[in-house]
Amino acid sequence: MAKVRFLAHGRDWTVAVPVGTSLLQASKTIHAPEGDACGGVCACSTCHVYVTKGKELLRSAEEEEEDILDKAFDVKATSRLGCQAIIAMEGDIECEITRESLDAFYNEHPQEKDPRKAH
Amino acid sequence: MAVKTPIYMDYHATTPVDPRVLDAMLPYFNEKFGNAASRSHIYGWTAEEAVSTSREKIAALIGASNPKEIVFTSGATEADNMALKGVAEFYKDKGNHIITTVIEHKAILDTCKRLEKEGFQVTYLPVDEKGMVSAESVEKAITDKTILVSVMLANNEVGTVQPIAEIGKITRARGVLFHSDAVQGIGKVPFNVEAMNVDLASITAHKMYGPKGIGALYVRRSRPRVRITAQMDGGGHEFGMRSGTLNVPGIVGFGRAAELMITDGAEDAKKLVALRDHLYKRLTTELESVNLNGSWEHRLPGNLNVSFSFVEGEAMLMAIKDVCVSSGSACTSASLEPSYVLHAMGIGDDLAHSSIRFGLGRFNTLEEVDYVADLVISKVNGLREMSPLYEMHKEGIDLSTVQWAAH
Repeated sequence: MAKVRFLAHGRDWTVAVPVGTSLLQASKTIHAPEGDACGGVCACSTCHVYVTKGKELLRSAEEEEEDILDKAFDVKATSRLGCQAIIAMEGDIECEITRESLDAFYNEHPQEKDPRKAH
Repeated sequence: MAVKTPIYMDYHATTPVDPRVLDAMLPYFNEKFGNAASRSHIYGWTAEEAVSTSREKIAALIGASNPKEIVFTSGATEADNMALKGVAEFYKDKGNHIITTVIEHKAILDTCKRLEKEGFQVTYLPVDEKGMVSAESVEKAITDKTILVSVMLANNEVGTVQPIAEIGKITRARGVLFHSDAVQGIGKVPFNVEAMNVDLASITAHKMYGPKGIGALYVRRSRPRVRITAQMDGGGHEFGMRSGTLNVPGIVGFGRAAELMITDGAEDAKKLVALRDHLYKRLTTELESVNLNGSWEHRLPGNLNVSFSFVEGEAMLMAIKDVCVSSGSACTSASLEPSYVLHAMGIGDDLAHSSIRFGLGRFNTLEEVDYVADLVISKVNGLREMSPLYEMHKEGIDLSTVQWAAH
């Protein structure tokens, strides 16, 4: 099993998932606020995360993912699309959910309160 | 046949738009005026198609395997800024060291200075007396903190063509990105991003008979996939690297100019070498003390940079007003400072001040070259007649041994 920790707006969510799981699937099992406007088929960049720890445990990005990342905002060396980042090895992974991903998540889940907004 | 004046021989500064390029551009100003980013109607599709076609032609000119590797910019200065700042920002966790040369264009040197202010370390490699950078010096300068090497393809003043393929071999083996400001050499000397392992390259249309205001940065998309942090945010045009509505007429002209470089470039170069060699032969056989600046073997076809001893470059420019050339100070011709490129080559102030850059191009003729040679020869002789330094030289005094008194 691999341990994945998601970070966003000062909170964190941790889950253990088997090798072969994508970061997006991992986030869904614990309701971490990672967006996926296209449903996780590598057609948009709303599942964009920064993998701050354990990036080497993930299967490397293919050209399709890199091309979609061109559309993402503020791409860094740690950037991955959650739907395409498949865990290949056991270990500890930490990722920060990007602002555009949080925006997509709260847009699609109006019942969830966006802690970044004053209510 | 009478030669029409003024005669333009400053093709390194800019080139006229080829009439065939202009013809291709015109429809895109009015009847095909669409925004290439409009996906919902025929005007947008027409513009987008024209942009794609241009991308393919420009990719073909530089040997890029994928047209999407061509990212349009406003010109080469922007492309240089984007390459250096974009790579520095994106790869800063990998290292903070950049290697370049002392003879780069200001768009590279001043960008490097800014990056130094932000904490990056820059090594400025020296050149030899011919203005050449050695691949070994690049190899020696690489450290484990080096993220980028930037070396120009051909120098804008003395026309030296740098060993890009050799440097590319080294940077690829060491896992360091390689950028080349290829503006002056594109279509004139061999340049192929795949064969030479170049990862980023700056190019511009107006140095190859295209319009001003349009250029491109080549950004490699495979082995390795190069990423740059965008320096212009907005609609995410140009694969997220450079937002802003595309200059469609400019891009169409750029594409047509690239196509013409592919078909006519080699023939142009052959003609230019013949004209350039003729000019040099006349100047050196009919005048004494004419010094060639730069390398004869590794040189741009249309470039001739010479110093006329005992003649002030600016005085020379005034004397040959009908001929549009530039003194060695080229890009900084607003100032009277001698060229930093000639200085880097170890050429003293006296010869640096007396240098003239002839930049020959597609539309120059043999008659023009002979007219210019006649004029330059007579003016140099005239100016030397008035020069006390020349008189001393003729009396056999070695000027370098003279102790000059300040007053």
